[in-house]
Amino acid sequence: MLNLRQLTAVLVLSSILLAPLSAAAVLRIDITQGNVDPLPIAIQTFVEDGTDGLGKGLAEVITSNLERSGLFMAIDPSAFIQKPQDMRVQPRFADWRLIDAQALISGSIQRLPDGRLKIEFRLWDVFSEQQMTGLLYRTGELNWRKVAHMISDAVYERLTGETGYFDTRIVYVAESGSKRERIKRLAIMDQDGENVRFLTDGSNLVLTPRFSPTEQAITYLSYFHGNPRVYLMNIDTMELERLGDFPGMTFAPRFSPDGTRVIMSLAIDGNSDIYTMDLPTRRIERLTQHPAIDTSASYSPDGERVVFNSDRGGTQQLYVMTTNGSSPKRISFGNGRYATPVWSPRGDLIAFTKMLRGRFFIGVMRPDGTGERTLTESFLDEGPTWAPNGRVIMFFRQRPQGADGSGGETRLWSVDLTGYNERRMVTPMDASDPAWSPLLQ
Amino acid sequence: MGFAVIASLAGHGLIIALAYIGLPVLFTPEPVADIPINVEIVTIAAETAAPSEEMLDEEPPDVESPQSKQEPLPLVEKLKTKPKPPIEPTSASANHVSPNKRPETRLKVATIDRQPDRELAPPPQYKPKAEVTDDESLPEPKVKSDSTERLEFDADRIAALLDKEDQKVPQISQNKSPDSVPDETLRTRITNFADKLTFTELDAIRAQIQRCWSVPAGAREGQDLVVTIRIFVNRDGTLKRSPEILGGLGMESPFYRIMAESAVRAVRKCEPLRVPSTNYEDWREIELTFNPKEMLEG
Repeated sequence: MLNLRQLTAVLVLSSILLAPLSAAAVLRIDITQGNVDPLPIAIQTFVEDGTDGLGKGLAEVITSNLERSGLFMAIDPSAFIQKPQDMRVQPRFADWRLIDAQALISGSIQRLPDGRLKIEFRLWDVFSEQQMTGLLYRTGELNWRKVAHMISDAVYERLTGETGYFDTRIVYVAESGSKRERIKRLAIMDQDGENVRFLTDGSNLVLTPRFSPTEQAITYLSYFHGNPRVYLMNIDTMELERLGDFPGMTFAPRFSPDGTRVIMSLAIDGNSDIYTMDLPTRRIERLTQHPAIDTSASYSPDGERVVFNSDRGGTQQLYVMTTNGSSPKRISFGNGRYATPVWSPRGDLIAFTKMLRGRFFIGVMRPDGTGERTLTESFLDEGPTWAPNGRVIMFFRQRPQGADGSGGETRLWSVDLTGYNERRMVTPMDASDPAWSPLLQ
Repeated sequence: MGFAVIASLAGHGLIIALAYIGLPVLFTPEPVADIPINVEIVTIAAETAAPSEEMLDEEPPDVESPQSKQEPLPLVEKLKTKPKPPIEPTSASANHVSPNKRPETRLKVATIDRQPDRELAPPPQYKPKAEVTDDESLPEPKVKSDSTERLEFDADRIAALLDKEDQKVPQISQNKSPDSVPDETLRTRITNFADKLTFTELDAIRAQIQRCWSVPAGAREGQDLVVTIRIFVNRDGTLKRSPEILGGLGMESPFYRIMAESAVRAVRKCEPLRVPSTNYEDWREIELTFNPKEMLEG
């Protein structure tokens, strides 16, 4: 006869031993392929309260932004079942699943008594029937476009994980006139082509404008009085300042990532070398000492290294050196000539122009020179600039001029990092030399 | 004069020696050119555990009448020369259910061709008797007593297997001599043979989800992002409840959340899944591992 303790032990042991093993094994499947279809998204007109048509305008700007990125497919508003005003509390998700929307944007815009606008939006996940993000903005009336861009950025970031690039501006050289008498003016616009504004009047030739990463300033090359010099312009105040007055030619300026220095090329007696100028002190530092042509320098986003274009090896190739000019190392080894290197804001790639057998290519490669890929090819593609999220590249493309005089126009184009989604930017006239601003704060 | 003879002999000898050594090289056979073998890469699912006791209690599929499947296929003849010994034990065990057998051996059963010859030596078939005694749930097979009958049974059953290979559940139901093997054995045999999803079924599920999965383009090049989710499926292919995100590589990355959401969205978009009509226990819970590395190379 067992005592209580022994009995308990027996019972416990036997229950463990006799317990059935777990029945069904879990089936495991590996999914390694998918599609890269754009995400179907529905953008509903914002509910209005005292604003004339701005609700529709907001939806249109957001739609065009998201579609232009190539990662989203905006569903035609005429297919929407639910009306904007019925969605104030919660959308009826079955209606949106019916039209195959996977994400939904709804919102409202309201004019406040003091004349400002109050804009709010919500991003919904149609399948899980949950809100993914929602934000509220109060702003002056003229800024409604900017708010639309900020909403596009928020949606883009929430759905793709990348920071957006819609609240940015592009500065470029607007060209007009005949081929012989070209008038070039600096122009600035929103990245969707709106709000074009001219910064110079075209009396002097201007080239290669570049944005400052920290403030609303542009550096560019101008042939004022026939002397090619680097200038600094404050966009808000339109103040103009010349950066140094050296003998010879200064050109190809770029800002350092912290905005305190400008790196540029200085050509004296036919020898072009790379210099940096410290903006507060105006002190010059020379980085390259070589009889070859060294130009087109671009900083890495951590400010430690510089990529530049040099023909010291015999042909135009790309080199990387440290910020004080030591140990330049060649990184481009493919066929053809390489020019205009630009380091991505993400730091993982360098974009460049490549010339091979009479054709031009825009390509990217890793900072150590491996993984070279070309993204576009044409008669003339040149001058890549990166969007702030390092995903989209803008460049300018010139069509060849036919014998009958047609063609020859120069336009801005953008392409995604994967090489897909080549799109032409809408500009009022011929445009070249684009530069993308950082995200506006 | 003598020197000349010696020199001549030496010269001739040298030439003969060289010929003896060298000439065979001219007649070596040509190396046989490699014939390229077409390889089809098939993903093999991980093996699940051996069928448990509950498997045997499951409702067996209907046993079809054997009359229609009597004719032997020409294939049977062709494989007459297949080596027999490795096959015997499995074919024998096919009659006597041993739940502990690995599935590969059962597959071998399907491909064997036992020729209808009577010359085949019966004795090796009796070896598995030991296995049978382990299994209490089965009745004593009477087949052992009559080897010829079993041969007949095997061939026809195999032929019937080959005949029906397009079916999901191989029916090993052609019971030529109904009194030679008891029905219960057959039922349990069928269940155990079909306790795994076939490659086609797995691939069907995988293909569906792959079609529905929109890989988020935000993953950077070379980043290791792997998301595993577990889904609970009803018999009709709809989800019983929300998928569970189990975790995976790169959880600290901000893109991980986006990946996980895209995985859940893929499954929801594919609802209702096209699922097999049988063996619900096998696919009631599915763990899906999403790895975008192949897709996002460059």
